[in-house]
Amino acid sequence: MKILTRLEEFVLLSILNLRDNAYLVTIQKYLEENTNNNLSFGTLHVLLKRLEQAELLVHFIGEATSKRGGRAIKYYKLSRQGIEALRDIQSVSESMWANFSNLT
Amino acid sequence: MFKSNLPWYARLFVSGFTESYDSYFLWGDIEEIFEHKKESNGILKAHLWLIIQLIKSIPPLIIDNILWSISMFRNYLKVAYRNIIRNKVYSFINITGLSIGLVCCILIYMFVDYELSFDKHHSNYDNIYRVVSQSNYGGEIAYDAGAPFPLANALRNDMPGLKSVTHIYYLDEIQAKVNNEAFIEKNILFADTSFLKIFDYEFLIGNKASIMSKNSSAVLTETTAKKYFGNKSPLGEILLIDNQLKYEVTGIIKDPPQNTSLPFNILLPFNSITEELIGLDLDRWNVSSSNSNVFVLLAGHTKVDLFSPKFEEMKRKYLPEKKWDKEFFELQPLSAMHYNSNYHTFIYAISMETIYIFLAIGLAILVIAGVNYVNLSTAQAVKRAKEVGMRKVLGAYRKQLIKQFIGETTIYTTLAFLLAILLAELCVGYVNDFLDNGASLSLLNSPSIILPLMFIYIASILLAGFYPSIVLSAFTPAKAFKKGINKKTGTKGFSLRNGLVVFQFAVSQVLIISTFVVSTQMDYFKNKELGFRKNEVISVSLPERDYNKNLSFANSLKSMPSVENVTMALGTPTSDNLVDTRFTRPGITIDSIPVQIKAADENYADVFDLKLVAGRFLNKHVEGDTLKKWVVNESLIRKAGFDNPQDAVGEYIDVSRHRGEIIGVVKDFHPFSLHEEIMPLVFTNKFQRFFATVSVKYNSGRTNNLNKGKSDSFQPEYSVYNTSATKQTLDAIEAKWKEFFPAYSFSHEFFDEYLRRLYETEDRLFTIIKVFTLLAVFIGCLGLLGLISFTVVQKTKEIGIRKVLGASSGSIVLIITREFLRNGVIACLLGWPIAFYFMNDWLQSFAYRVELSWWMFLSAGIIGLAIILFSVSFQSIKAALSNPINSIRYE
Repeated sequence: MKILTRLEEFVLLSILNLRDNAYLVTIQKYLEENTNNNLSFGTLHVLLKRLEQAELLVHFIGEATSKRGGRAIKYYKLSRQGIEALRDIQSVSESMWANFSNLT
Repeated sequence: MFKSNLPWYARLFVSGFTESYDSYFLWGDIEEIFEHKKESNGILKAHLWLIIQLIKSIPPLIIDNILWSISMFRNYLKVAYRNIIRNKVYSFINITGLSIGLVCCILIYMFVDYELSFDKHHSNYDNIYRVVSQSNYGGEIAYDAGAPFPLANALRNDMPGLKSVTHIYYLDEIQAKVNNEAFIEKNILFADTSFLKIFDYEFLIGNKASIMSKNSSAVLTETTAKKYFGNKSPLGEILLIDNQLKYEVTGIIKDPPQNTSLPFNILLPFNSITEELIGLDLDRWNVSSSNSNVFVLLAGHTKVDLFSPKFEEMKRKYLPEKKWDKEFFELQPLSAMHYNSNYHTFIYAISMETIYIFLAIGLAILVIAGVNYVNLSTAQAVKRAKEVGMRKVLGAYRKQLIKQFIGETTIYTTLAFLLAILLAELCVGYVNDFLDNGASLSLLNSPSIILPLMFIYIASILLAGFYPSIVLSAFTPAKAFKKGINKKTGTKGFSLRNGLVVFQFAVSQVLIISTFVVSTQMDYFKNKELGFRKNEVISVSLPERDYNKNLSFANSLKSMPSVENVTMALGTPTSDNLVDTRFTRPGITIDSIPVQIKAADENYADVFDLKLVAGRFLNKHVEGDTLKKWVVNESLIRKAGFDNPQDAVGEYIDVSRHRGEIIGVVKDFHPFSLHEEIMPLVFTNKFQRFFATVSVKYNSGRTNNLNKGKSDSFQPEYSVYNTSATKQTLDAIEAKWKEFFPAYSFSHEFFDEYLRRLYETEDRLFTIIKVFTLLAVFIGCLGLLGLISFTVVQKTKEIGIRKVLGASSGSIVLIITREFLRNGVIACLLGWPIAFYFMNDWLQSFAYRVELSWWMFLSAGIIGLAIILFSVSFQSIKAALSNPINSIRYE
């Protein structure tokens, strides 16, 4: 089991939270609002590409609209492995954090 | 379609960094945010945001690209390696051509860099100026860097705004004596204390402030100190200059770098100069010498023009009225000193034109090598079309293919580059020796070369790789697998290839013609009749100014058996020793005309074989004879307005203030190098205090042979130096010298050797230019050879079918040759006018020059076409003779 980086974890969680509306622009905004992480689109683009290559994400293409210069939107969705990965992370951090309140 | 509102730079950026599938969506994403920002924050802030976003995106995108490339890199490397191995001839031509081209470029760069680095080590480089003067008498402009001796003080007193003024004086070759050991020393520089403030030198012993405090203190360079005193401390040692002046060594400085315009070995205080030592008056405005220079230091960013009115004022204060509108002081920047031969320099000067010629040749070589590569790779396109098609079918993007082919070019270039650096490092020593300019160039010693090297490297990759990669990656898979590719893309690439061949060939034509012109001009220089004898003449500089002693020395030489005649004079017919003045004709109002006085005795015409066209030469000087008699040259006769030489004999002219009768006219000879025109000369035996040289005409035992050959040219007859008669004569002269001037060490000079040295630098430069030109043409030939072999391969089937249908071998050779010959002829027609324009321009810089003639162009053309024919015929005969069965079965 490969542990995800914090940033990867955040990206996956944003996509999960955004449900059917997860694409580069909304993910960027969501991350900025919730984690105060101001990523450039280049960083985010590369990150998404890597996660997709690792098969944690899948993408689907939306309808072309009159906005965005007529270009369709590339939406992302978590794959089964993606959700598995998040679960793993959750259990790992829970076990790591378990005694936090007892020890402090 | 919807119009995209994304700024162009963002579009360029996105499509440049990402694959087309990704960039499609990314583009839309960015536009969405951009539009949103524009509405809420205004267009300016939106752009600002976008630019910041783009900049922040560069690092992750680049890292991503590199990671991806590495995975494909091994495959590309393998394919490139297989290609190199499979096409051995092609790879050999490419790598050889490129590396020879690069070697030339590197060497030229190093040479040019060295020449451009002169004097830059002085921290005041930009603010140091030399005070020079220009004069204009009757339209004849003369340039003089020599400063009259009172000039420096006048500048100090009358010219506010100068930060510092220094006066320097160079001694000609003179004897320096240390502990009774005598050395002939060349670069002795007199300078005042401000010299060390203006120019930078590093002191090893002693310090700036005190080192020149006394009039008897001497500063040596490290090397000179070692030469004189070995390893013991030189401080306090005594140095005797010319057996007259005594100095005490007070300091040692680090050797000045080679690339300085002011080289010196010994630095002496300016105030210790005596009139006796240099033979010039030290207090007169009308006496100057090119050895005497004044430098000034200006405050930073001072406008030089501001000083013109002040110089004008100074001129009116110190110079006589008749010079006011004829002579002008100017400030010459130190940065121009090495590149302007109009004004005297203390080390060779090189014109910016020559430097540009070198740069142009370097560039031409690089372009020719690049064109080779482009031609050969596009010619190969057919072979690689299938590979390209297969890659595309398997999902390669065009961008990836471009990367692959540029990568391949990079591999070739890298190989060529490594080879080139190795070769350049090996060759640079020879180039140093050959140029003999004191530079010790080495790739290892010049870290500053790395940047331009990288530039040349990247430039050649882009130059050679860009176009082929575009062409090769353009094939569509469907077409690539069909046979149609041969016709369509093949011809399209070929037409540009034709253009490049024509271009390359035209450049070669220009280079070949230039070589012809340059060598013809240099031959002309070397072989031109100079108008005087130069072989079998030995000159000796007289160390003392005592006329009677010198006379008896000369007479004692005359009594030796091998010596035919001896003359005492200011100098040889072509010599550095000049007395410039002006002359007028009494009663006739002409502007005074510049003239050179050649002080000489009655034997001068005989020793140097000067031909008289009218009257007679000078008589023996008789003590008490006050009448002035002149012997003049033809040039003076013309300038003075006489109709013919006979008319002039018996007439009077005023040279400087002296009126005298013209008693004879000598045929014109060349008193300077052939860059300059012959100027009016006057011979007189009156100024014996100027007699500084004894010239001995002797018989080497080979005279008969010599007179038949080019005895009048600059080409020295070295064989003469080795005859026993020459050796005996030299020994005898030396023996007499020791008798008369025991305190001075003996030195002599063969006149022809001196003359040869006038053209040494140029001769070398042009030889190097010739070599580079030949290399450029050679690289071009290599490319042509490769290209032709490809064309022949492409036409194999056509040739086979033609043969089957009954074509003769001759007609097949013709078919292949025709196209290349046509290209060659077009190239000649393009190249000739360009060559004519440039070479005509270049020749204008010589006062005596050859004419451009049709044969240079024609023979360049013939050579070019012959090269084409040779390389074509080799391949095409092979193709024409081959068995049609084999060629039709090809593929």
